[in-house]
Amino acid sequence: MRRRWRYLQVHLESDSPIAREAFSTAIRSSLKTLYGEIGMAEVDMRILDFDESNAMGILRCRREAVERLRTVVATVTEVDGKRVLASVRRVSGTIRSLRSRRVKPYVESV
Amino acid sequence: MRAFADACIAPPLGDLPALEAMAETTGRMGYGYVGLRISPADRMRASNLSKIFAAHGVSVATRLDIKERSRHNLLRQLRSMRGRYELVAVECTNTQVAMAAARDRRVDVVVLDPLGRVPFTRSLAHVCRAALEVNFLKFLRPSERPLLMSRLKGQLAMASQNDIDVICSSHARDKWGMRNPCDLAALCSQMGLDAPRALDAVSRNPVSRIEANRLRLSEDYISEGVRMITRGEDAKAVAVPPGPS
Repeated sequence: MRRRWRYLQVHLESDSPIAREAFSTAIRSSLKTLYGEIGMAEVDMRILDFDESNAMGILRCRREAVERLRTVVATVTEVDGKRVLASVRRVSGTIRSLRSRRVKPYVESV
Repeated sequence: MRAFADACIAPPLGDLPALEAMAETTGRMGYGYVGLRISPADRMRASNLSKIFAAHGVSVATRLDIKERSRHNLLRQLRSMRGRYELVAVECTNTQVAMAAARDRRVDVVVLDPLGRVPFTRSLAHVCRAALEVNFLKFLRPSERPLLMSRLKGQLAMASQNDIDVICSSHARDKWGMRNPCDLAALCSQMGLDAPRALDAVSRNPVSRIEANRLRLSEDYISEGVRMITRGEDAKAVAVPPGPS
């Protein structure tokens, strides 16, 4: 069966700049703590992009695992020893729409 | 579009920059309402704090958290404080207090620590009129998380079975503790709530309670289901209660 993906635009707010590796480590560690290795396999997360200038990243996961990844992002409190406020700004079915549109407010219309 | 509410934030009231930062963050995250935990001693400062949040489009509801060890003390607190706060939450320290809080219609939110001694039993759920609160702050401690999640799932399943409203709030003390409403809803859905109920936990459930209490506290309120809609001569005759003579 064909896999369906969802793309999440994630923003980290912090007092100091955040490196891509640190972001990746924090997200993966949080995912592993929360859901374990089997959960990691089910979410099948990849970090596709991370812009260090505005601390904005794009994550990809299975369509069924969006809520799990949102929870993982919400439980990230520190990256590389720095306090951060992590939040999902937007969820999309195509990466193009995430990249083409400008940063939107936090809350999507639901 | 839904109006979102974080039913509990507890910022340091004396730290103006921290308050400003929290107000800015809540506004940016799309919250329309926040429940500001404020003690009776600090309640006079509520109007100034409301102005800070109002500048970012967020309406502040004053919230009181009551933590008493006996039913008698709880009822005494409710009698004296209910008319002064827009949200009243009770932290249940024992079964007796939990039962009294769950039954009492003056209580808006029941806080049952999933790691605490008071379980959310069927008998408690059966009489519960208040909403059950999920405290997100506890999720940020990884060591306690597995047990917390297991117990919280049980609490939320019991709440769903008995049709009890759930409220999810951040209990943030600074802007780093705040979370996007949709992320809080995602957490609730991971704990077993279905998607609409999870979204209601950060929108409809807290907002409806705040709005209903505001109406009750307003001077137009007369009694349950009756409020003054105009202030003409005729309206005065209806609204003024009969005097002692």
